[in-house]
Amino acid sequence: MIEVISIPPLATIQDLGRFGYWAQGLGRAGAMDPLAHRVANLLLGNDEEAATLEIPLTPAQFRFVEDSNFALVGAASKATLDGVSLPRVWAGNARAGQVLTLGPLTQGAQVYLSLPGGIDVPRVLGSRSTQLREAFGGIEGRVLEAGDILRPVSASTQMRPLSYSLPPLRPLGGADIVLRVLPSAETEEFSQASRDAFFSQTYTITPASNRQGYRLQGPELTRQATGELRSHGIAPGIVQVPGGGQPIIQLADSATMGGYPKIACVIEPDLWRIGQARAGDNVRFELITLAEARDAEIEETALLENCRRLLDLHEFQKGWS
Amino acid sequence: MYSETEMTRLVEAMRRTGSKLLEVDGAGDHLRLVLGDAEPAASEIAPLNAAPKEQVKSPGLGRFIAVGRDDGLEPVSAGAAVSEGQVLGYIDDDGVRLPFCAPAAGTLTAALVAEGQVTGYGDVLFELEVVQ
Repeated sequence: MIEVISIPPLATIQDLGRFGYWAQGLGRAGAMDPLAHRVANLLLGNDEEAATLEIPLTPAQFRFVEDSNFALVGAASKATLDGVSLPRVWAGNARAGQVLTLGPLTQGAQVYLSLPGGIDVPRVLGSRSTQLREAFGGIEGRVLEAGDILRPVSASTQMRPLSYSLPPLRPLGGADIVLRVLPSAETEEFSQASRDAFFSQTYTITPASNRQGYRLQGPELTRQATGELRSHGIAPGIVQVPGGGQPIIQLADSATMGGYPKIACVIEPDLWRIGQARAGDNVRFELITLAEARDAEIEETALLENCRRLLDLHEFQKGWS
Repeated sequence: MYSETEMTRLVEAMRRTGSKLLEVDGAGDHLRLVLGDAEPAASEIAPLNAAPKEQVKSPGLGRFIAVGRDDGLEPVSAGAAVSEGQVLGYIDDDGVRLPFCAPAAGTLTAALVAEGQVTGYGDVLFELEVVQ
């Protein structure tokens, strides 16, 4: 059990999302970096869907009210537990009274804190994610504040510290975050020059970015067809191009409908890369095929399955010493 | 008190152990043997309570990965002062990593294994001169 001592008003309880209500105008919410969220759960032996605390802004301080296991996964945060520095992927023990302090975030933009069994909040419409716009889910549908108590679903046991090697945010030696995309319904309606620019040039993430979407700045994109589109369903990952010609990537708290033309859609296995991108980071879009997208999904599933298998193996080996 | 053979053997023993001074009291006699240039100064005699060395051992089977690559921590180098509980490295098994930590505060010797080297459970990875 953890008490929040201090935290900027941006952290929310999230799981993998609330699915099945898009047609009624309710988006999925969920973790901005689902990969880090999953690893934070795996390291404690939790289900993937267990709720974690998503922390996009620091500094933050937490006090352990009782002896507890915990995991911290994501951006480097100069995290310390009673002064002992923790790596950016860590699962281990904390004693009652110890204080976990997070400093400035580097190498990413989100940190996930998990507890055994997940953070205990009620499930609403099948999920523990926070819907900020609709003000329900998570902890009373709001961001966390000082004094909030986070309870674990399960009891803690003495565990051996664990860590994990997350995939790198950028390709080796690269300066840009590469996002693999599939074409969208209106991709062909953009000028050849626009498409060439979009699929090869760098776009910068502007500060006008949040859980709903990230606004990018880069080569202007021009749609050649005339007439406005009627509003239609959109989903996280979709890259829209409003009138100004600067793209927006819809994300976890995406609107369920929109009328802007779409130039591409970021594949699901790369959404965590946007989630860990900060204002000022450069991204590049790489057009891939549906088969390649499916391969990326299979690769991600295999990665997590391998992680789960190895953790089970180590858990088994614990009894040997 | 000692025969010449015994004296020779005493001197050989002193040379073998690097001793500079040997004093023996017995049977009314006092023997004092000094090797080397001059009388050894008090400071040359090793103190009885030298810093004890603790061994930091591998927590499992896997490849040794140093701290400070992509884990958000500062690298730990030979001769560095470390605090109790400080993460000193990881044993990596295809991505899953077992961190190992300093058992006490002290000064770290150089890593006794190379980055990427496979280690077994219990292999000594570092030595730590414990601060009293």
